[in-house]
Amino acid sequence: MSESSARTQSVVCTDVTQRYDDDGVFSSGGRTVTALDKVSLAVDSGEVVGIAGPSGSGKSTLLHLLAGLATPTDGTVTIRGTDLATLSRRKRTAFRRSNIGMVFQRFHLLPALTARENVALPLVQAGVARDRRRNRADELLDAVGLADRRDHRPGSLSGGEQQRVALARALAADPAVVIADEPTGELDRETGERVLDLLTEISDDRAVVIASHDTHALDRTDRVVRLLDGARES
Amino acid sequence: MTTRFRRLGAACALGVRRVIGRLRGAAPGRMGVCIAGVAVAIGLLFVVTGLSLGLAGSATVESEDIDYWIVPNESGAGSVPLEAEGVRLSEVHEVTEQLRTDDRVDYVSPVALRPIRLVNPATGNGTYVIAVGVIPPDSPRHVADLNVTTLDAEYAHYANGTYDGPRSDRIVVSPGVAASLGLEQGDAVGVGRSDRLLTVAAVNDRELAAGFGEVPAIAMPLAELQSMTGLAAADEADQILVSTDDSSVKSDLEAAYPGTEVVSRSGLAGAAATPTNLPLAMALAAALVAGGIGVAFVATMMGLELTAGRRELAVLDAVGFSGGARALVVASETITLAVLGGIAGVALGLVATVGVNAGVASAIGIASLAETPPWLAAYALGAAVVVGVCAAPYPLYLAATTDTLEELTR
Repeated sequence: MSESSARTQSVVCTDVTQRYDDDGVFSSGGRTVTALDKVSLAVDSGEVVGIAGPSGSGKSTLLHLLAGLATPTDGTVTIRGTDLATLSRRKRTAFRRSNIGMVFQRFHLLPALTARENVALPLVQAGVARDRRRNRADELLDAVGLADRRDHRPGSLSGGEQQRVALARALAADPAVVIADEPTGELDRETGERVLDLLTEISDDRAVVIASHDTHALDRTDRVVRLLDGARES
Repeated sequence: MTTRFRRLGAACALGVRRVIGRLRGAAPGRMGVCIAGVAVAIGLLFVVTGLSLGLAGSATVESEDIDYWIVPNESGAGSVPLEAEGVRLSEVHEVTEQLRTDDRVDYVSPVALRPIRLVNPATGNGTYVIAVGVIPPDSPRHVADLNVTTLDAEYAHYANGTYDGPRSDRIVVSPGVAASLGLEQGDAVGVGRSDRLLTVAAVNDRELAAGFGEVPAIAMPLAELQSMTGLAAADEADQILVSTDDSSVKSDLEAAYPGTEVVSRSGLAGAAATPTNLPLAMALAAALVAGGIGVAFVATMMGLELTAGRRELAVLDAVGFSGGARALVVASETITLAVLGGIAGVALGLVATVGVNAGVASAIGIASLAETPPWLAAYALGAAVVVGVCAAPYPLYLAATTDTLEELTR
């Protein structure tokens, strides 16, 4: 697979470097930490790519750059042909809303809202009418096997159920890219398996990037990119 | 509805929904404490404003038809105002006659206020009332909230100061007196233990508000009250009311009676007068105190809530809520909390007002001291909204300074 043609690829990272200043609270001055060093990556629509590496290797940093939650110090991140660095913060947020779905290790559902309301959250800011939001949320909860739990709050759902709700939320706006950060990290093997099934099922028409320590999860991906100390392992 | 407005409305609704969701089980503790704090503040505002309204409404014996009041100057040492049982004016009919010759004066009457005991001869029930003595007017007029038009306009008993003319014995009773003694128009009512009977010419359409609440009262011809209560000897009254449309009269009134002062409706009037600015000051102080307490509570509790829940704001950012939309959610949550506190505060205020009125009634016999007109609830809710708006900047600052990446990776 080629990693150079942005025209047919959903996600393209080119020589992405991310540095940040360590405040040096306990020292006389700060120092610069390189979290990612010239990492390149391309993910096609319909492909599931795993990001592997030990803690501190830069997996989460890479995912945040792919999601547009941060901009790289050097290099470019292009999603569906749009260089995220060229967008203002406001436009990047709007772009993320329409094009990128995120799944977190700790689910990050809003505890005061029901499963249905959590799933519909991205559609609130998309300006989708209430009835359509509800219908879309119900459809997705049905797809992840939680139709009967839609009025429950996260506190009354199991970890696996919460992660499935989070996955449904990530799909609410029908994004072209889904980014999952340790999606099975808080789940038992069987529950994690079910979440991975769902992640691979949704990859038919979208690019899926999964960062994980879990070798079993990485085995389910089409290919694995390994990071070590912020750089791709050769 | 445009997408933009739908977006704004949905963000506001999300704030409301999150508050309700927390109250219904997700995190009721802090929310409940916050609402209770605002409720106490708004309840306080409600009760004190109600008391202020009660005081303002009954601050003085006043009438819409009366523009100026000649009242004794208590600091004065003049010989004319008498100083027995408090300062009173003497020779009031003579002064009144002089004032009546002024074309600018529409109506003038001395007013005497005396407590007397009325007894319903049919039932034997008795009660003390304030008898308001006035010279009956020629045209419809209220004095001290009592419609004195139905009193005998001939005013025969005075008889040029001899007090031997025929008495009309007609009185106007306040609704409270009528209810208390079971009186209706045309009924006879006795005075104390004497054999004298008065006739109810009319039941007034409203209570007399004086001093600190509604007072049971009757109106009757001044001369007949003077004869009955020993004020006839020196022709005494408590004050002289002068109705006019011409403000230039005031300077002449000030010269008409040595040792007195002339006050307008907005000033002091009568011995039991209350400065009219006092209730306003009380209401203002209540608003400031309640506002301060409410803002402090909401800002602090929302600050704690946001500090604990910054990750949720980060999640909103991650799923595509712009900074403005997140601010709208936070502002909506803050105002919703304040409004819920306001609703609880109005309920609390109503209960407290009933308690205050019951306590005052049993302690000093004045019913309905604090008033609760319907608009007071709207005022209290409006104050709650203001509390929410004023408390919003701190939560908004916390929201604006939330680092999404830090919260999501923490």
